Amino acid sequence: MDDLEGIRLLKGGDIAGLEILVRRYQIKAARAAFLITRDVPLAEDIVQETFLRLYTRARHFDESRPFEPYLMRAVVNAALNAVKREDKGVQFGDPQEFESSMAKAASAEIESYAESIKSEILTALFKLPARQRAAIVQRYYLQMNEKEMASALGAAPGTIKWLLSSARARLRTLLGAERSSK
Amino acid sequence: MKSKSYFDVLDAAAQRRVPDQVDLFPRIAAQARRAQSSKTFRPRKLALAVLFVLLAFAILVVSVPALAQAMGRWLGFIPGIGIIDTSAPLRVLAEPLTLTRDGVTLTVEEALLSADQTTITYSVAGVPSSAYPRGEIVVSCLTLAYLQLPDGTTLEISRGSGGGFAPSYRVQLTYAAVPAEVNEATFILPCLDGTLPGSQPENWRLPLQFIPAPPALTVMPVIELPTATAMGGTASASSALELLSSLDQVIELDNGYIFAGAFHTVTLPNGTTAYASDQSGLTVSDATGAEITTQSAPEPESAFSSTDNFPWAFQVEGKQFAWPLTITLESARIYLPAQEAKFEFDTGPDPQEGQEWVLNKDFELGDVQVRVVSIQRSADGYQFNLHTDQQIAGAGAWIEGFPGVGGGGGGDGHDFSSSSIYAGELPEGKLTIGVSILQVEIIQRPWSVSWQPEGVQNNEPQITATVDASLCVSSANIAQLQPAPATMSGKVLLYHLLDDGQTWGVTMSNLDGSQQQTIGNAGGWASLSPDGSAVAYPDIDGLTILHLASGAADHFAGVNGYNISWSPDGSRLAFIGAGADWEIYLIGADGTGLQQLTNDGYPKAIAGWSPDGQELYFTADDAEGQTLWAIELASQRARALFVLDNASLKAPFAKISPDGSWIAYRDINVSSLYLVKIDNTEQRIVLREPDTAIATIEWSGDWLSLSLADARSEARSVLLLQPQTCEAFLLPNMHGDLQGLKLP
Repeated sequence: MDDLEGIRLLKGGDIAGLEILVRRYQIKAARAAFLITRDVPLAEDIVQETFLRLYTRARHFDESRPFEPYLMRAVVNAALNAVKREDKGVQFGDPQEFESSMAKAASAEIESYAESIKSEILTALFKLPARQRAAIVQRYYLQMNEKEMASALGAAPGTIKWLLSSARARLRTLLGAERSSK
Repeated sequence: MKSKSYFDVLDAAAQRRVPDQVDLFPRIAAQARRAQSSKTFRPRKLALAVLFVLLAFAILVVSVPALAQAMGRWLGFIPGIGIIDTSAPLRVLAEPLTLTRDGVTLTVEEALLSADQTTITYSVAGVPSSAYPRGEIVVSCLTLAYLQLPDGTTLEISRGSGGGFAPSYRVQLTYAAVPAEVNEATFILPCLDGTLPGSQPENWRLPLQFIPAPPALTVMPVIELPTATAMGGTASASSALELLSSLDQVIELDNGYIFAGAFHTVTLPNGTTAYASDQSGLTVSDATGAEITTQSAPEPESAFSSTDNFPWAFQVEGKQFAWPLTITLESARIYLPAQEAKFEFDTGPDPQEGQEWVLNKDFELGDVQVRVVSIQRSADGYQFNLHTDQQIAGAGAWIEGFPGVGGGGGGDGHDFSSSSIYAGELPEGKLTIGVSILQVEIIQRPWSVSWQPEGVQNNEPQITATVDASLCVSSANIAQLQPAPATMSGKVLLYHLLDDGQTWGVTMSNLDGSQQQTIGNAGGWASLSPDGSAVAYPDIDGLTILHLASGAADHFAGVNGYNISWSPDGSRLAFIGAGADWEIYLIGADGTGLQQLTNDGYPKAIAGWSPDGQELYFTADDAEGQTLWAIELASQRARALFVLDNASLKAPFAKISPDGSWIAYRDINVSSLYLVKIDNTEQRIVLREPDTAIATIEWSGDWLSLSLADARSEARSVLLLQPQTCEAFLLPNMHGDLQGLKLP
């Protein structure tokens, strides 16, 4: 069964439609929310509330639109709303630390994927401001393009470009060096 | 070696905390079914949150502003308590008291008695979740704890804070003062906050004893300014609302200061509520102009507002500053009085749960068109669905004469829903429906005041006089900048939201935004030729040059890159290749002579050309930082010039002036613009505005133009600046990223 069938069932009030969509997307949604909120229970609450909202408003959903971007956009916005006050008065982390960790992890072999690297990534990511975490999650985890991100975050594409340009530069350089050394 | 995508990397990292086995469906399904069967369902946490919000509100409306109340007395500040009258000896609780009944423990943890108030802190632990109602229509405990003196007198509550959810929570309540000769009182909690009647032990009583406060109790001095120090006022252009702000008190802490002040309304209409901007709209700078970090005050008094007084408070750490400190509040948020409309609505006989009436009824409330789209009946109330033609802060509806026992609502700025819940019989038949909207106005003009402790000598600025003197635009004057005069002409290449409100693109226009011309498929990397006749941009077909006069375009297939920079004579273009590297390429404006100039792998950005076109400048993010390099095109020899001091690590957006004498770049906070001589003999900071981010930098002649992004809204403005004379103007119709500027 595909998303469309799930949505149609949902529109008809059949909770089986909800089950299709929840089981298909809950892990990705919860991980995206967790990467932004840094809080597992909060992330799960966000996903739960997002699906519930979807359930109660299913009849308004436009079937011609793909479901996953719609869902993930709602999750990211809810996660950002949940943590939007946290940035005030805190010392921000260094984006380069995160980028460096990402590049290191991406260049490691899958089989030897070290727990320490995973931990390092989360540590570095979690030091970034919430908005920057959201941008990273949207671009690299949800694999949205800059236009989609701009729309989702309500920001100008130039802002997204600005948020991500440095990360890309460093990552590509580091990965390029990694590739050329092999 | 297999390499992973970044998705894999992040997914694996998140998997440690959100494992594959997580299954949220059972609880989602349970809630969905509950929502389906009873629209009254609200998670317990929400119900309790509502309860405590109501509790706080109920207390606040009878309170007196703490700051105003405290005026004219000996004041002190106790962290965790707030500002108190210290004219009489302070007293505290002799010892914490605990009482456990049926597994629930009540503890009165602390008390602080001063000449003006009594603050009691208590906690409750062990309340089972079953003690709380699962819906809003059940009345739960709303009775507040009170203090009874030995003579039977009951002390009034003046304010409260805290609360929380089962199984434990903590509450702080402030009562009237206990007379100095009375050292005993009984703390009485009629029922546990928010619990169902009879579900838990009730009528809790704890005998309290008060003793003199220990000498170690820290009381910070409060410096009351003799008269509220005005921070200036401003008029809002759109509604003629006016606000004044003042700095009223300074609290000296061990390691810093708390500044407390307020906005005072002058002409706000009745019913208007105003709030000071949040911390992101506040800046504190020292005598050198350097920004001082602030944080929320531990005991902000801003929880209270009356119709004409809206306090704010914040804290700075440290005491060694280049005094005086200048406090600037950039904006105030004004909630305009709700505008209302009413209409008649008939449910008809025997309305059913789930029934929906599609109305599409329109109203004009001020300049907002509001549509009541539909009304739905639920098991215990009605839901109103509204739509507005413009983005507003809120909209809601209700049934006149039927206040209900609960409800809620929300929206996204255009579509709103609000619901009303009723206990017992639901209103039906012929009803009067009220509709209201809430609009927000932000007054942007800053309020500013300087303060220093008595006896402190003004410190010399920490940075050189040259730098300080060269600052043309700062927090102090950016809001006063005028639009560019009509006599000033020129062309602007801007990346912005186009008129359709959906699409982003590049346009060329006059300085005032007139004669706008859309530039093909150009995105964020367009570049204007030195004579203003052509625009180069990366397109899907390859590097493209659009000739503005004729509209003809040249496409250089297979040539992909960005960060395009025209040579001074317009005959060549340098750009960063779009491949896996970050190398610089050169191509003729006619598409010939493509060549690669660099091959070192460092991220680079092109800064511009020497006036004779013989050298190209670029910055490279190398081991030293953002280093300025020059490459001699004839020999292709590159040489490092110097590291850009304090440059942005992300992207300094360095740009060489057309005469080749200065390089402009943004600093590490992306909010200051540095100018440095190309031989590194002189450095100036010409702009420092912590609330904005410099988004792009362009030169035309000896004028600089910058796109500034507001740190809060990210709204763009475009600034023209002549750094030698400090002439500066805004381009009022320009809201986007500047890509090029051509002044005559």
